[in-house]
Amino acid sequence: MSDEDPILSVESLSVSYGRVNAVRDVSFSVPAGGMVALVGANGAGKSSVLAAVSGLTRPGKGTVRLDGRDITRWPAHRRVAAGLVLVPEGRQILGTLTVAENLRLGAHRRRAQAAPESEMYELFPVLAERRALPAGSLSGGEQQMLAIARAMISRPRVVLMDEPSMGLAPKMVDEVFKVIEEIRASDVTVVLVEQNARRALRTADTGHVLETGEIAHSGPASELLQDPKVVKAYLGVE
Amino acid sequence: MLAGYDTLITNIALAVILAYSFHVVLMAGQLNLGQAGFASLGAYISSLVVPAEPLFGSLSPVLIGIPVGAAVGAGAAFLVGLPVLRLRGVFLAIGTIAFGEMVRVFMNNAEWTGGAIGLRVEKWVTVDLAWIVVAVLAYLFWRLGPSRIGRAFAAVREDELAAGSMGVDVVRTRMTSFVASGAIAGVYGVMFLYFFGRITPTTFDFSLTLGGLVTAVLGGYLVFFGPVLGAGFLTAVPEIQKALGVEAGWIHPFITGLLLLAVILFLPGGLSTLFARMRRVPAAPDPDLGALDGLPPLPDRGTPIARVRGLGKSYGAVQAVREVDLEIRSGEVLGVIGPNGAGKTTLVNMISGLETPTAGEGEILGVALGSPGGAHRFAQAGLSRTFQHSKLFDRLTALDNVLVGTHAISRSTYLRRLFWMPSARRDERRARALAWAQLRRVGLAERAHLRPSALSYGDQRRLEIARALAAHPTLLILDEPAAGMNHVEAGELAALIRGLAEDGITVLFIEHNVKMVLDTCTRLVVLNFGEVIASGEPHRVAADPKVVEAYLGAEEEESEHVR
Amino acid sequence: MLQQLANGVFAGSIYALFAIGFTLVFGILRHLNLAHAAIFTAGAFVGIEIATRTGIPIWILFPIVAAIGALAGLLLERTAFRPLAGRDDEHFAGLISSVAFGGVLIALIQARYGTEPKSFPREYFPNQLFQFAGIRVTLTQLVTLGLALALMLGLAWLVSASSLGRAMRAVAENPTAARVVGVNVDRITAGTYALSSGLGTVAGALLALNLGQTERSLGASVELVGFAVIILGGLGSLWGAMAAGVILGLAEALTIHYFDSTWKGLVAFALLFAVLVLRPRGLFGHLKVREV
Repeated sequence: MSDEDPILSVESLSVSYGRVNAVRDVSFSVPAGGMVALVGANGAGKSSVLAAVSGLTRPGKGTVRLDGRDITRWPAHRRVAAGLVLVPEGRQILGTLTVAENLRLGAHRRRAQAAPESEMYELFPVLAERRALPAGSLSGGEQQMLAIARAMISRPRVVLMDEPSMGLAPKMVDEVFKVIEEIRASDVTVVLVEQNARRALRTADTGHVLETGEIAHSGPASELLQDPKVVKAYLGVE
Repeated sequence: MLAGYDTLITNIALAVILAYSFHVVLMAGQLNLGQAGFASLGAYISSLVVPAEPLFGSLSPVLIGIPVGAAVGAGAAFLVGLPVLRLRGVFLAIGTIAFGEMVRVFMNNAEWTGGAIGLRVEKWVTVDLAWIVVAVLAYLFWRLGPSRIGRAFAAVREDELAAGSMGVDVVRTRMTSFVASGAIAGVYGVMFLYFFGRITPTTFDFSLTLGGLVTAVLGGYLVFFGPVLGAGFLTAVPEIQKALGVEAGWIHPFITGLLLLAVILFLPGGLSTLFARMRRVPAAPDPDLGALDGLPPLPDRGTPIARVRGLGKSYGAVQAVREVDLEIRSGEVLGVIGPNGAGKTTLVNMISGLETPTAGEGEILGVALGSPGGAHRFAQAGLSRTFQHSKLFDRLTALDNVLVGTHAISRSTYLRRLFWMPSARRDERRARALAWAQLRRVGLAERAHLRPSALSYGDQRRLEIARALAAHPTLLILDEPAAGMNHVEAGELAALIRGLAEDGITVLFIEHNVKMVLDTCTRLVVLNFGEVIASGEPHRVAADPKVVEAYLGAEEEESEHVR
Repeated sequence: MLQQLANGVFAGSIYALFAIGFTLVFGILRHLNLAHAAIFTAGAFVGIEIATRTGIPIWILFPIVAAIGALAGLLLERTAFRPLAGRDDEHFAGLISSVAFGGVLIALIQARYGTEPKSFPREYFPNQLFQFAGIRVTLTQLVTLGLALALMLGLAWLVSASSLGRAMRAVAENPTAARVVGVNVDRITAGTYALSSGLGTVAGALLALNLGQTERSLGASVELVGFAVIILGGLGSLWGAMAAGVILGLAEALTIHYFDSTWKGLVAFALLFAVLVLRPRGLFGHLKVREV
């Protein structure tokens, strides 16, 4: 990891829903332009971490910092304005609004920095053809592309991706990962939560493995991929 | 000493009766607000038949009025329910309000009702009679709780689609609660008329309806004594005000409003939550190995149990499924894969009776596709399923969720429970034993008393499988059971599915996790753009170039994924 | 006959104004706000009190009434709806908590204004009479119609074409998704209540102006017709609510003309019943509705 200050850091984060402790004392940081993958068993708390970082839930304890500023108490919309954007689990596109309206909403909080719509249509040609259609009429893969485009149009500095490959056929998963690599290449910082742990660790530079709400293993992604304990417990390889 | 309070105490009883007519629909998740209309009909029509003299010299003539009122209310609710129960939620509420208003205007303009001046009768209702009626109602609702129909009400309230898939006849259950509500409202109308001795058409107006709703909700509709609490509480407010000597007329509605707000904000289940918290959690019974005995045997391995031919479904111009031929034989594990939007979920929805095909024909476990009646008929024939996005009953415990699953293979117990018949107790005990057995099978026995929201995602999926298994299915359909699971969990799930197949259950499952599909199924069907493009022995199908091209992608990384 | 139709249109425009505030909250937040009738009544009383005390002209009075209504709407959202957010029974509990809020508001109206009807000061608004083709129309009626039309068109534009409207529609469809893209959902929710209640108080004051007076049951008298308007128009559909308001006003006028005023309610509710059974999404509606 580089010596420069991280763009995003999470310190001793805990999240609970009712009596269930979803996340306990999780800390990690991401250098600007870096990519971190959070992997682990289902229910290990990966999505809860992203929900707390993006402002969708309030953490019980801990601090979230963006550029060193404490943003733990900020509402979600303020984090979006500061360039911290979530591509949520299950895509969460607005089905009754058109593709273009979805993109405009994505640009809404950062009008000054936002990219023109046309740039997104160049990146995602499939959306260009459907710009006037209700987003609900897109296929699952196209909706995932729209969810990513809707996040990218605001030219964010940090993108949080929650299970972008979930429910997609393998061929579509390939395309999603191609897009994630393009985003990385453009110096945007990425935090990726994935069920497809092998895929995620191949793409990221650092990985954290969560187990029942706590970080059990951390390290360079390539090493985690080789670590027999990690491989056996989380990748299910025989 | 109570003598001076006769009117007050009877008023409470009347409020309880009215609240029960809301309670019974709220239990089943229906928002009927037509009670004023049913009460009005019950009161006016019973006035035509109630004799002017006591029966046999001493019995209150209302004893004739009560069954008449109940019958009129029930009959009217049935007739109104036929068209109106096609509606749901707010629409149902407003439709029933409209019915109530129509009755009011009609009574106002009819001659035999005395028009706007109203009706005068002898006051035949006494405190005792009013509270006897309350006691009978409370008993009826007490025995309803842990009965098969009580669970069906709760299931319909929480999720109609899932309830239907568990064999609950949703249409009939909703109608039952609606008719019961009409009957109780009819009784209320009669009791009101013969207690106050006078009604006008505006007696039964929208504010009366709102009052009843508020009482039922305030008391809590998840516990049988809720209406008693709600009515007692609301009646106490003006009495306390009087006792304190506060005169101002606005204080009473003001305090009532504030208290209602406080209860709904801080006691979500109504006042009865205060008492329900004290209930102890029943312990898990010892594993009852006999629970699964006595269930009907599953068909012999290899017997055809389902067959569809030329099956198709189109939504407007979009053809989701076309020309699908499929035969399912007992004991096989059939995997269905295909890219997103290939029509997999539509296909299983048609097979399980949730959607009607637009082309083709088929027969599933002896039930013809497209025959009227809906999903519960397929469930009763032995088909059980889970959903792509878990459809669990949120306000029921894990155990109660699974108990609903036994609906299709159990007998109605309510009437027998009313008379404490041992056979009802035996049936309930057997249902619970079955439910526990399934919870153990999926490894959730320790979490039986948690609500689904307190379970992890993987546990929720397992719970849904346990619920489906509780119906003792011949054919089990799983829609993406491993979505969101990691490889380890998926491996455990695959082992569970193989175990089910060994027990003779036929499994059809949709899945994206290719490794798991190949590990589990005995036959694989691949859909693309709504058509079957390959089917047969799993590894051979997966190697088929057409399938690789359409589904797996041709890259090196993916072939590694498959192996 | 023509006179009856004209009266029907005027009555209908008030129904529509009552209903669009109601339907706005339902369409965007899926809350059935049963306090709307109380807010409507409060608008009438507050309008009369301000007119009586200050004698300010009508074009200053209505913005003030609307502003007070907006504040009441914020309070309503804060106390009766926001605390329920995220609960399993949110929609159903909101229905009850709004009944409670409405009850408290009516009690407060009684505390301040007593139980007797209140009237606008005599000569507050010129009761000028116009004649067109044999139809008599008062200036009050014309102002009512004009104001109702302007408010409805303004609202329709706001929702369909402005970026605020886009954010409102995003919240309507999926609050989580709206938050993810940076919509301040709490503010949109509060704003929707402010807007709805502002429209409600203006509608109440307008009806009081037409009747010359008001009493505590003013809102309750319109509430049931308001339900009918919302259903006929399709829950959540603004254009539908407007059209249905006028249709109902006309239907009532015709009933009175051909039958008797005591049958008035039957036609409205029979029409509502028929539409519900034959075409549950309403005459003009297309919005899918979540269950309460």
